[in-house]
Amino acid sequence: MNFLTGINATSGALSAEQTRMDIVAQNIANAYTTKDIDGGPYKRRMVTFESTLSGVNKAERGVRVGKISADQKPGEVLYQPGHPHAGPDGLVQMPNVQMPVEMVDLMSASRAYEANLSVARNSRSLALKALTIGK
Amino acid sequence: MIEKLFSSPSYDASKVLMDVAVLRQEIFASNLANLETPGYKRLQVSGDFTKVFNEAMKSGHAGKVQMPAVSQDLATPAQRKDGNNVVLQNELLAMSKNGSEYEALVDFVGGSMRTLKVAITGRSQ
Repeated sequence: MNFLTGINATSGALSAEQTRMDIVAQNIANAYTTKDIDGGPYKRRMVTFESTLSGVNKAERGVRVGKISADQKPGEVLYQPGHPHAGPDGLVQMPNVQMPVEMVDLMSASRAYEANLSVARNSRSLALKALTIGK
Repeated sequence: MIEKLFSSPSYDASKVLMDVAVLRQEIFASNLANLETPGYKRLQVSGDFTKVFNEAMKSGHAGKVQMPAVSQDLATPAQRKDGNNVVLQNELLAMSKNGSEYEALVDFVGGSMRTLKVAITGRSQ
């Protein structure tokens, strides 16, 4: 048992949600990147979560980032003959980042982050309360 | 006198209840950590612990109640497409209720200790 109950699960969740927010930031930053490191347009990244058995106790189920994978959905195609990355037909493949999707993802990640912070606060107040026994 | 204070049924019962409250807090931590994990089923204290405990309390063996097992809650339907059945508000509310129960228990246990201190020292401070 930990002094702070369930802190392994909570800290795992906080870092997983943090990763998710980082990936959203990366997606938004690259919303107009037509040349990724592999040469093609930027593909938005997605974070998947997996649950883990973090402690000896069966009740403590943590979470971790499983995989960060690229969304293979095709992006918009624009006709811009003067664009440096346009093909011979004048078409430019744009990234498949959609702002509303990213913003919703960002909001739900930050809401989950706050929920886990309140668990940490609660665990802390339980631990502090337990210290008052005998006083 | 001291033996009686530390082996009274309500003192034993509050020890068990505090352990269960800590177990519950651990469960809430896990459920909220997995708020966004696809396919995760919320954990819960299995069986009707309150009923088992109340019966043990009546027969005066509350201190011997086994810690409840933890199981997955398959009865609550998932409200999302990914099969995850954790509802944020429910978990947060249950967590704050559990926290208040724990504090009440700590106050009770602390109170009996303070009584003992008064008896030993003859002073209330």
